Amino acid sequence: MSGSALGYARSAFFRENLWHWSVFVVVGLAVLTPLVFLVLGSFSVADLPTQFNIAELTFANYSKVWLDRETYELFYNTFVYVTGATAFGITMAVVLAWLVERTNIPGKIWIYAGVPLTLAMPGMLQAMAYVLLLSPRIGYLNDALGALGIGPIDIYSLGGMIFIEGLRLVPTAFLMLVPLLRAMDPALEEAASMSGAGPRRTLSRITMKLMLPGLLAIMIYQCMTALEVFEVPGILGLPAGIYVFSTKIYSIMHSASVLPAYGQANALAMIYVVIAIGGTWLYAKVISKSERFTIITGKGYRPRELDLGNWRWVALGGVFLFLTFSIILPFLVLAYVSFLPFLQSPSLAAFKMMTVDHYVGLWETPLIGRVLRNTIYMVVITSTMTVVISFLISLVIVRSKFWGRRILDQLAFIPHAIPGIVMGLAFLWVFLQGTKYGINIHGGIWAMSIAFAVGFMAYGTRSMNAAILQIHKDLEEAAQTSGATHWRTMWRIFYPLMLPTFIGVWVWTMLHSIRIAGKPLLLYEGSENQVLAILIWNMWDEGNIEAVGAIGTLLILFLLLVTLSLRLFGFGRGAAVQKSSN
Amino acid sequence: MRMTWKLFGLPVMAFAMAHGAAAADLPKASQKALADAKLDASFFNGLDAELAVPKAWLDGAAKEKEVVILGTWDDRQFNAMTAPFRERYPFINLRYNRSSTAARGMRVLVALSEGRVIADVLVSIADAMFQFNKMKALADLRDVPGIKNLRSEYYASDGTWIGFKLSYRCLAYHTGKVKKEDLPATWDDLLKNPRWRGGNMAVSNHPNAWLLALWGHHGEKWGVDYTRRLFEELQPQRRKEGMTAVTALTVAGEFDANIPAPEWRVAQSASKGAPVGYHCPSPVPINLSQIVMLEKATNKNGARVFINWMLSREGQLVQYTETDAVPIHSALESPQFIPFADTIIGKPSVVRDDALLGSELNERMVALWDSLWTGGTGK
Repeated sequence: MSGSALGYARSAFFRENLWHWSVFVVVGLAVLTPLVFLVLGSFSVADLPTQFNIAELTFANYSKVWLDRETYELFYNTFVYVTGATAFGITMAVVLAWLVERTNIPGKIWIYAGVPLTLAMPGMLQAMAYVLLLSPRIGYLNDALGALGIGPIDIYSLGGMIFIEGLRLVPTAFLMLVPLLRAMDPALEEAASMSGAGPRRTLSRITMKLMLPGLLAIMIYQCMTALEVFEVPGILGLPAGIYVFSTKIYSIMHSASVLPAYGQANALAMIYVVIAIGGTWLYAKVISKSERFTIITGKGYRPRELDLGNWRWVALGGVFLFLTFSIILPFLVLAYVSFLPFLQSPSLAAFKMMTVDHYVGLWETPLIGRVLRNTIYMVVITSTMTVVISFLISLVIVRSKFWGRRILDQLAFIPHAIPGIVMGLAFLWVFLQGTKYGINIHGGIWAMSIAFAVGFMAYGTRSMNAAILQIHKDLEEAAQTSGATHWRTMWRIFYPLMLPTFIGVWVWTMLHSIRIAGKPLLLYEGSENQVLAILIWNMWDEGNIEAVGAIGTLLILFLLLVTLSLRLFGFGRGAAVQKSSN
Repeated sequence: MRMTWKLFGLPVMAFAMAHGAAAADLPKASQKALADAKLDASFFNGLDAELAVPKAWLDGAAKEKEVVILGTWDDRQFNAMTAPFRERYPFINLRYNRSSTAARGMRVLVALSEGRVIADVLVSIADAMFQFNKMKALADLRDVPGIKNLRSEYYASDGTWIGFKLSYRCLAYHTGKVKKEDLPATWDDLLKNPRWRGGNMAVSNHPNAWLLALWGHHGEKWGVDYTRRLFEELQPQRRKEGMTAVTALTVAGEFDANIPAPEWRVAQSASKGAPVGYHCPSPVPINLSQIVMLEKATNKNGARVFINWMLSREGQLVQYTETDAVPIHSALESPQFIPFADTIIGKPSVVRDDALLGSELNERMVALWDSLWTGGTGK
């Protein structure tokens, strides 16, 4: 090799590795710094995080938590709840995604817009709506079923928790599965069909196997989600004395004494770190053989739809049933209570006393303008940051030979397995320590956005990894052989193919960051960074259920509009790309 | 010490009176409150004297321009309740933030430990009082003139808190499901009647609000036994929501009754026609809802003017008419201002005072409650 060529090669090597190292270091710091505080905090018995003293570490929290017999009894409940919810949620999501992307089911745009809408509803609101629907004492649905001699169905049970959490897991899995199916080359499925395989056989022997790495990734992710969420088991499990790990941690942190027992919560949360590391290792094993699952090649392709015939109306009915249970019924309940002067079952008397007082009250609330502004800023910053960071991480993981790419993958995944409320606490420690060094972001919107983005990296990278995996290197190599620069290849090849995933991750992040209360509750300090989730939480906590119904109703309507608009844009853009490539 | 403050303050107050609004020029909101309470204007005789504060406070408040308050009131309630204050003192902006019990305590304490002050005035921080006192975070409010409107037991001996309303923490019940004969005459009777078992009763996670006063009255032995039996025999539904949220669920019929229930919330629901009643077993637990100012508050003058107004008969009356809060002012100690007076008056009562709040008994009670609350895994 000539001197100039060697110099160029060295320069390119260092430029590329500098970029990889930058991503690695930034992500490492973002994930490990709060985790270090999480671990240190588990050995601390200080009242407040700011009173932490490294000279006073103790195993007292571990003794209290892990030597308690009741802690081990949590394993059964948690196992049943997590596996049940995941199995239910994934099955529903696969069916829905397949119907939307692979068949001629009518109303696709409404299904695609409607399914993710559940994400907009805070878990606590949805659980509360189902208490009003299926409480054995006052449930509106139970009243109706009782008139038919059925029931009552008791929502305060493991079965109830599995059902509700399973419904809540569907939209995320759906948004992760749709890009996979959309970009899948149908040639293999057509070959199976021509060889005499029916739709069911093709689905099980071809489609599902091609989707396997993506599907396993989604299952691992959803298991972690069910493991860390506390709103559903909190509302539905606690009244029946059913504890899982997340509600146990929540209960420890919300004792009758106003100061949470941070140390004990951290000690119990260590289980999540262990599970996260194990789950991530498993995922890494699954995707290690990426070439076998390449689907998008340099050859042209057009997604193929299966003709369901008259069964498409049955399928549509099934989809409508899902949407009814996951969105329509809870929405109607929230809308109903939003017009009531006080909670009561539907009746003529109740309808006669309906009032718009709670809606008027919202606009008279002095804080509402600031809360909405804070929420918009937080959502835009969080979603954009998540998309950019996740894409950069996934490029390193999937497309590079960087030595630390597997570690990077694990780092990106770990925060997801830690309950939001515990990660929020960890970040609280980080930001408070930061004020000692002049980094004053605690109490502001950026603090919340950073904490959220680190947590959402897991979803972002799973989606991006799976999507990038399916883009064969042939396409990039062909572009570079034709003289395209690295950036031009990114813009003309990667970007159009990745656009559905970018939009999906952005929308998912937006919807999650609006509805999640755990982290914001820990990082919220006042009107400067109060967001909608906190307003809803405080209103609920203070018993203004009717006002919560009003906010919930307006929020869902707004997010439906946003989701539909984004979907139209995504479809429009995809169609334009398709047209220009023909 | 209190007499010293009074003698010192008189000449200054007399000079400052010209800066306060005359009682004859009552704010519209105050006139409405009089009408709602069916009182005439003579009720406010002496209001001028109550509202008189040192001129330095008013001048200081004008420079500070705002007071930051963390509380439990609904935003609309707060606006309605403080309308007369904003008319009288238009140069003081009240920046109000509603937050949960834990948030009012924890957030403020964390900020204070970092040397940051995020509020001037806090209300209802009983659960965190111990921690605030430990950090010496609260200002001495014995120089606030309005303190003389209260009984001596309604403010801390060191001035670190002042009661601004009385709260009763008894039992709310669904009138369509509960017969009057089932209502317990005493707290012990509650555990004896099997109709309250098996989830018919709900409890929220606020033992300080009712159980602490009973522990203080009956003694620790009784308290430990009662608390264990409450969870083991009664097996109530344990709800993580706040008291008012759990009360709303009682109104909906989710439970037959809940403890503790704020009387003002039950009164508001009942006034809208909700099927809910309020009952106090004997002895009646009474809480003093406290108002405090942080020692390092940024807007001390405005905060003192606000607190003084809250303790005046005008502030107390408007608070009652807009939020159903039981007044603490000695001129308003009347059954007329107590919701559900028939279940409260005439029964022995126990007050949760600051000695109890800061006691080791409280710590032991909370520790036992926590262990029973988080125990159990169900199936």
